[in-house]
Amino acid sequence: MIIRKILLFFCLLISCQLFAQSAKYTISGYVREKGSQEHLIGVNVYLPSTSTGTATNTYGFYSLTLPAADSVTLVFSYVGYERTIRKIALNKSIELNITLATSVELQEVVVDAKRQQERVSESVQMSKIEIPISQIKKVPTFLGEKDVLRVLQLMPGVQKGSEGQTGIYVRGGGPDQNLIILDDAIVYNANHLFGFFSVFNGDALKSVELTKGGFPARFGGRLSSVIELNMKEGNKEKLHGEGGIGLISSRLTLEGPIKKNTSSFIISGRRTYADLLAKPFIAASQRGQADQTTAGYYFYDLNAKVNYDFGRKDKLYLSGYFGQDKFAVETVSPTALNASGMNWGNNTGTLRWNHLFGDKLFSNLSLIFSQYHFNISSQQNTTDPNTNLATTYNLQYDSGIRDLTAKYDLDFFPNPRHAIKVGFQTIFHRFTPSAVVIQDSDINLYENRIENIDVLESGIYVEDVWQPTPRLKMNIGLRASSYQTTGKSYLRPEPRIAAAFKVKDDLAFKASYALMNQYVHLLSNTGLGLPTDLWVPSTDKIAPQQSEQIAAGFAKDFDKKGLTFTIEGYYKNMNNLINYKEGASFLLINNSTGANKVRWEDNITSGKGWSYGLEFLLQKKVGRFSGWAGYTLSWTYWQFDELNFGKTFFPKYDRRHDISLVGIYELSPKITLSAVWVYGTGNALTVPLSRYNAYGNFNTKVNNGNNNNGQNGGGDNALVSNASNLLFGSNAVQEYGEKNSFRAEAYHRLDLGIQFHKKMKHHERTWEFSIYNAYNRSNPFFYQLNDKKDATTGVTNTVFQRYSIFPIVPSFSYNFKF
Amino acid sequence: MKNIKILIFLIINLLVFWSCNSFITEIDPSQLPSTDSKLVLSCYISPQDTIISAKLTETKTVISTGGTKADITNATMKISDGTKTISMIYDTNLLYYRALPSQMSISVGKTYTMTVSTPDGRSVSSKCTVPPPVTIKEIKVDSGTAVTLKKFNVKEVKEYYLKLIWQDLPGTVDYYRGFGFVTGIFKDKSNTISQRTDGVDFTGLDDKNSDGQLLTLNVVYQPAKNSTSATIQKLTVGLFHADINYFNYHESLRKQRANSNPFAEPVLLYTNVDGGFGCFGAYNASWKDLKVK
Repeated sequence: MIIRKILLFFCLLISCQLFAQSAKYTISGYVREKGSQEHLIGVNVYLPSTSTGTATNTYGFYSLTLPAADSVTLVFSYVGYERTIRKIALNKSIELNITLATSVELQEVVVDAKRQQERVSESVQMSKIEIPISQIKKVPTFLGEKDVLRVLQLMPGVQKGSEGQTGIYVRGGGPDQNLIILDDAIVYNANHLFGFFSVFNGDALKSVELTKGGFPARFGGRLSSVIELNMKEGNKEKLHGEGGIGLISSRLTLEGPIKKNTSSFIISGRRTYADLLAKPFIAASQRGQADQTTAGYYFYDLNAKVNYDFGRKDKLYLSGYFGQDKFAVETVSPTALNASGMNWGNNTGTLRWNHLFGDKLFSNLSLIFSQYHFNISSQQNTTDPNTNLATTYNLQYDSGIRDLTAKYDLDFFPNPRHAIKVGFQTIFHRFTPSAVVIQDSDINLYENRIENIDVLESGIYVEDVWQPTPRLKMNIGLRASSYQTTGKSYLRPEPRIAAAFKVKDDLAFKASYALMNQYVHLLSNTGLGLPTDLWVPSTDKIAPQQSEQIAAGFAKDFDKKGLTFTIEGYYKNMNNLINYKEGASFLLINNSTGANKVRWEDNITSGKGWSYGLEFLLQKKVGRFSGWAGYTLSWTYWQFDELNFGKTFFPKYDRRHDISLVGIYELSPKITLSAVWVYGTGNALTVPLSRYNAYGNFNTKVNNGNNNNGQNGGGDNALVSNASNLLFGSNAVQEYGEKNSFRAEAYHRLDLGIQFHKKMKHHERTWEFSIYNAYNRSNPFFYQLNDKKDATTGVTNTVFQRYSIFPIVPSFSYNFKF
Repeated sequence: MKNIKILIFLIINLLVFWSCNSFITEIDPSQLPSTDSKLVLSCYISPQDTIISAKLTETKTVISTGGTKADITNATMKISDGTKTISMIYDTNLLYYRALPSQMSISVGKTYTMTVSTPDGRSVSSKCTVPPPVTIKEIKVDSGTAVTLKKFNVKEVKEYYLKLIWQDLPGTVDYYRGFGFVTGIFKDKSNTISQRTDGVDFTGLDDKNSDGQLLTLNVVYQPAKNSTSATIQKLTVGLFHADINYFNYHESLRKQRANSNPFAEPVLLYTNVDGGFGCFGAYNASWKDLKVK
């Protein structure tokens, strides 16, 4: 009913506008980068000194319908690119394709920098962060790896998890509440090497955007954020390459035309090589031994994309991501082979077809495949030297998720006051929560699988960026999401609204509301981003997660200085959050104790959470000195009936204060300096505080007050011999106080970087030196109780110790471009 | 420029040297939330018991020389049913505080209060109400072989499936715990034959999702690992209709003990003792025997 009313409202609005027009013409086209012909996303197209304008969409297309005029001046501006102005006579609809040249590096900000960069006071969208890829490449690195997610962690409202991890926590939400999409494909596990690196290779990316709130209706399926990454299309004019050699990995990107100005490709790969370097050393250390062991770890990822331009009306893109982490140990002896391994990875593939219906209606159809797979394997082959009988043993543990998605979006630009998007998306998920298969020569085959779970998740949306007055801009939208699985289905409306009111030319007040539903959940014991983290669907027992968020704030542009400043407050409540029960872990899912078989849902408990805070961001995207300063003050609370005995508690990543300062300074055309300083309140943890003997009831009808104080009993599922004599079972237990009542020490760190650029005859090279944790702060990774013997007294004491993992870590890398 | 490069490499070498330092640091205990030693009371009352018994001990900060503190034997311990109050006396032979049901009967529906104070001025108190009895409908035993995985090796083991069935009381939130004894003849590796009784905890169950239904608790019993053969003769099972305190405390205790996974959420121990830890809980037990052929 609500949906019908809103649709009716939209139709009325549009028809009013349509009837009101007299002799109007449309200017439309694509904006590309000069040289590479790469489509540019989010380029501002506007009439100077008015509020009339639009921006290019994800495929670089824009359309602007204006009244007929003898002369119209159009400005095209985009951060990091030369501003282009075109004067045209508007007496018919015209196609106007534009190429923008990158602005010369080190050029001081043009004094009249108005709209040189995307002005925050101009856009209706709030709670959105964009970081130019070029800026990401200048921030100091960790072990020489440019990491997009690590840079996003430096933004207000976005927090990292533990030291060194790429997990992202947005406004009190968990790492599973981020919709991470690469070319429309959902990436389920964005981590390499247990979360120390993300799977995204900056060389292959064109843009990165993070939305923390005020979500447009076209996005759905997660509670806390949308991280949208778009891959480059590949240079359409000439072959171009880029690469780097670092301490732990090397990478190479090649892009170029397949058919000049019509079709192009990009292929980008990265692989670590610790395993290859270690191989000869491991072999040398075992020379002459009967048993030979090899062990290694590596990860790789590969991005590839091709596109074909059939002309103005049709364009086709095919892109894919393939990544894998692999651990393997193998021992070979004359009579036995012993091999174990663990590997996990994502694969995604996206086929997109852009089609233009006339000059106001743009369409895109995407067919998407996405898969995450985790596997543990163990193989033992033994031959008895006396009998020559061979025995084999094989174990395979698998878990994963696979998606097939169809998505269709329409962008309609009826007039400068409206930009309408409508579309639908349907995802066919197949979950494999866990499957164990054992083959053994004694018992043949043993299988313990949780049946695959098939789910259909769909969404249909409409949104309109509407400018009713020159000062007021709104994005009104509605999404209806549906979810169907065996025995259960949901249909939920998700209203979204965002509004920006221009108080002054460079100052806007913004507010937004968004309701989000999340139908798939991540079970994580550690929050570390381990590959064992398991994606599970909503079921009849597990309800979908739901959040409502309101945000409000001011956005101010300081045009002369090229600065933007935003301040935002938010309140978010989250229902049906899920968490493991106390003491439960993913391993229990395979508990095969005959009669007591557990469903994975039995290990999970659901509760609610709420979060509120204030975020400040001062940002400078262009100029010799660029960077940002961010501060977040926030509170996050959880309440689960089955955790902490129903009492409210702070989740692990509740963070009162979070500061990040990022500075990049172009000292000369040859030298770039950069520095990052971060500070964050410590995590909330549960640690043992005291110990005591807990006496459980062991009452029996056989005992009649016999003289007994048993050990190892009471509440223990284990057997106790002659238990009938016990009255109290005694267990030494630990007392933790309330859940997460211990605050870890604050986290802070300084990173420094310096880049030396040089143009060579055929290429440009950059030497980069980075220092992670420059003042060697021992940041906590975890805490543990340990026994320590005093050397003088001989007494063993229990002490509380902090474990840190990264001290000062220097690194260097060599990068090149041609 | 060349000098700069040399300098940078020198600095890097120095940094690498620093980074090899140990990265484990002892934390001053004052950073932990304060933990004074608190009293820990354990007392479970039931109309079927022939004795009222309680234990008292205290907590010890975890940053210490290890171990737990001994029981406190000189406390003043009182139990009251609202009209009558009696003292529980520490028995140095039995090693717990005791009173007899002849001094105060434990009755269904009554709320009992315990107060404890120690000579050093600490005191705790707690309350619980005795639930009504619930009779066992049936107990069953079945046997089979199980495939277990131990260190990546597959083994077949004989096991017994014990089943406890009863009718839940409708309209109330009920908590149950099952506890049983298996008596049998066991032969160990040295072929010594002996009769033994093993205690088997059926663990707990509440009726939050199954009010008024027929409830079942199952447990898998495997004879001790050193038994080469076993013949089960008798099964005795008790169904404890418990109050929330008894139930939550024993469930949390069992889960904390079973939790060996360092990545799992730590299990907090339940308490209903004001000012301290432990549990004052009540239950109503019914028992059933089964001769196994």
